[in-house]
Amino acid sequence: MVEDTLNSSGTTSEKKRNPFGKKKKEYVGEPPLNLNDYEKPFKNAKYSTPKKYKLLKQILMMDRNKTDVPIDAPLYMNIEAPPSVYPRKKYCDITGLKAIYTDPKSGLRYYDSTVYKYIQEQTQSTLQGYLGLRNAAVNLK
Amino acid sequence: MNNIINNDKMNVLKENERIYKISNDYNYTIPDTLTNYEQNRTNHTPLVIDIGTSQVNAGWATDSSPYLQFPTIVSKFKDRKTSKNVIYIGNEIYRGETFSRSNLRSPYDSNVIINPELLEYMMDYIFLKLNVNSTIENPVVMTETLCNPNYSRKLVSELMFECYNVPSICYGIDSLFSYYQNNSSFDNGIVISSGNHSTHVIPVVDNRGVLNLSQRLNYGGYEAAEYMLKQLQFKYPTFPSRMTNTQAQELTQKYCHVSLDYSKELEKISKPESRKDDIVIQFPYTPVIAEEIDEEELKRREQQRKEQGTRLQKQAAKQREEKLKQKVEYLEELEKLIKLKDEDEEAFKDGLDEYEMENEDDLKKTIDKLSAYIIKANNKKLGIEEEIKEKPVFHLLDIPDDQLTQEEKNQKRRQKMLKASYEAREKIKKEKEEERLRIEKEKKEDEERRLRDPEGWLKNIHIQHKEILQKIQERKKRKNQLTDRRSQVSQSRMRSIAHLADNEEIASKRRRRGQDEDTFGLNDDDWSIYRTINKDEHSDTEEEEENQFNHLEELLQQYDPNFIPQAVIEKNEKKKTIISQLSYGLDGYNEDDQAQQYQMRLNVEQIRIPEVLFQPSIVGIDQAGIIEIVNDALKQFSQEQQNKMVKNIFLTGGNINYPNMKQRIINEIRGILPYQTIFDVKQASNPILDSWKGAAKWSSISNQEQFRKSCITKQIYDEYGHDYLIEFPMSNRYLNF
Repeated sequence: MVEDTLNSSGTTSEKKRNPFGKKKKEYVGEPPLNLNDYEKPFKNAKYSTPKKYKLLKQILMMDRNKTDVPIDAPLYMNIEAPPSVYPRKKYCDITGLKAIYTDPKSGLRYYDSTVYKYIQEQTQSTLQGYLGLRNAAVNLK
Repeated sequence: MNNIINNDKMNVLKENERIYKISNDYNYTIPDTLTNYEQNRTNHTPLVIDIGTSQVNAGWATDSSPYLQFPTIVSKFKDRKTSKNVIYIGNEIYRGETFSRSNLRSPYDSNVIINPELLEYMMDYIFLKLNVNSTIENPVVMTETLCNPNYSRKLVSELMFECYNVPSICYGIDSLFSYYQNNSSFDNGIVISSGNHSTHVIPVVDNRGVLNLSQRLNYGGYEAAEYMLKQLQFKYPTFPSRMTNTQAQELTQKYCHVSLDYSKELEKISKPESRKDDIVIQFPYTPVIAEEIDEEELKRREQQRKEQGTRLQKQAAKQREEKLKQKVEYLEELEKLIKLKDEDEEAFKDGLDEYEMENEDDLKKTIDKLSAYIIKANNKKLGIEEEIKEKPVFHLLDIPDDQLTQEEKNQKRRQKMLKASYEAREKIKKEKEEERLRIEKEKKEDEERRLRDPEGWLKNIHIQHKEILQKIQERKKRKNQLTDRRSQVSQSRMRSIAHLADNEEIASKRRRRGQDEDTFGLNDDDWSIYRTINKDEHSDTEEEEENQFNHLEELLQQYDPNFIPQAVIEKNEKKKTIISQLSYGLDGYNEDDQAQQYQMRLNVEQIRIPEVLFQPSIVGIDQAGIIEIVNDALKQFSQEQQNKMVKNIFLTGGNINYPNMKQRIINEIRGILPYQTIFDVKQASNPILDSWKGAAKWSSISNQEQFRKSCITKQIYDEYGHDYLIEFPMSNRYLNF
């Protein structure tokens, strides 16, 4: 791990590495700091960090499986905001403007007849993409 | 830093239009000076490390602002040239080779630290940059997210105590540190904090964050940038250059603002007058200058082409001539040979061998062929057209078979065939000629009609044009309707298919009785069924009509100065549509304007992206908006308590930085509170750095006693468990089940 000291920037070795006179990639200022090039005296050399890790979902699962957790305990999964009690406002899926119409075929909301025409010209996958923007796409597996 | 300023400069290219350049790359700052660790080591200066989901702030608590600031990203790869393992952190990535940016990783999943390995690299980098050159003797203050899972804290503590041997750690919630920094006292209030992955609302009562009544909305700056990117990708599906996440982030941070009245502003944006308020983002491009060809150049090229043509022709003629000459010579020799026959039999036979002829007949045939060829070639050279071909003679055809020898019979058969093909050829020729004459005549008549009565003629053409246009449009409509299963057209089609199937049923019944076989396909007409039920029936007539339509358009363009071609009408109509106006402005899309092709217009996006915080349903998140969350949280407390809290509504976090955010929240809060309630909304003086500063304040000398009590020492860590946490006003609560 220890390859260089803190002060060496390695300019001479770089020249050697480049015998054909090709232009070396240009750094802005000094070359970037590569962690592996430096000695780390502040570290416990014997300790090795676990390389495996759990995803957040798995971590939350561990908490969820515990039985004697009070319902109102301030846990990560308990503080998620609940759904709104107010009706959702509807906006045009294509333009983002206010929408008073819905295309019954694709389920897209639209602003006016010209947008409807545009919707009709699009492929099914594009329409699903638009729906996906508000998390309403239908995934057929 | 300079870069940012340059990019902010406005480039006025078009009147009434604000055009901004987008930066090509990330802008970064790295401190050059190294801190003196010795002093900080002996003083036991607390080290404050705020590892946020988007940015790391780290430095000595005695500094006024964090010494280190860099994005929370790690790039680890193997350099193929030197086969060396490389780890870049934060800004270093942007100084390095471009490919190091392709695989950026973060120790976070959403807003929780999960990956100790990447966290270790972060810490290594921080300590290196802070010039720590011996074991660490400083207490460490770290931030964590609201209700950080114990498992995550355990990962951090294990790393800090076992790998870096730090003497003690203190964990606090980032947004509460920011609140602490901006308030002299830490009593009642409400914190609204919008970070990179999540937005939190935390009530503060009696010197304590009320965590069990806090709420999290799963939307932050990262999601905002992502949404911006997706929006623009759909708005410009054929955009020539690729937009990066960093660029989308830049657009979101620089050009978005919170709307004070969302529906009113949407209404305003839909009006054509508002196009001047659009922000136009110019992406870099290299202009391609079209080669200008003036008339002279065109003429010169034409001339060149002609010259080349004649040169080739001459060459070919020369070659032909040479060939002809050779043949003439050959013929002469052959003729000499044939004369030799009568004089010297032996020499003649030798000659035949020499010319590779089998016998006399062969020789004669060759001579005939050659002379015919030469005559033809000479005629051609002299310009004599040999068009007048004699009608081939079919003298044998009229003689009955029994009067002919076997050989003549064969000949007769051949003549029969020749005659048939000859007659067919003649017929086609005649038809073609007639057709040509007819068209010419029609054209002439049309022209005469036009000259006789120009107005009436034009009117007639207009009527024809209109009829065809109607037909074409109707067909288009029908096609469109066929794509909808519930339309009348499709249903009648389904009915006819059903009818056909019905007929089949009868057939199958008959088949069951053994009376009939399935003979479908034996008759060619059977297949026409598919034509009748096919969706697009008239592909042939369609083409014909289109040709005619184009012809009429040409005529009208030629003779009617007021005529506007259908394509132009359609283009103008498209220009008027809201989609075109929002994407390309009032002038519409222009293929020749290269700059425009590399432009994005931000109009609805300017307010749509921040609006998600108030209406998460816009992006399909099934959660309440921040105002509703605040309202719900307030309702959990007594009226007296509420009145105290609303006097100190506090905004912090990188995603709260949009213009108008404070005003909008004031407006909305006024709406949910009883009439004439006194309230106040404050914004953090520096929403990004204040959690670091608050943590530094907590660990400062003036607060030393309380700070010391909140620190987890190595001994406590060993005794109480690796995920143990000491609670204090800004901390999470330690829950052990």
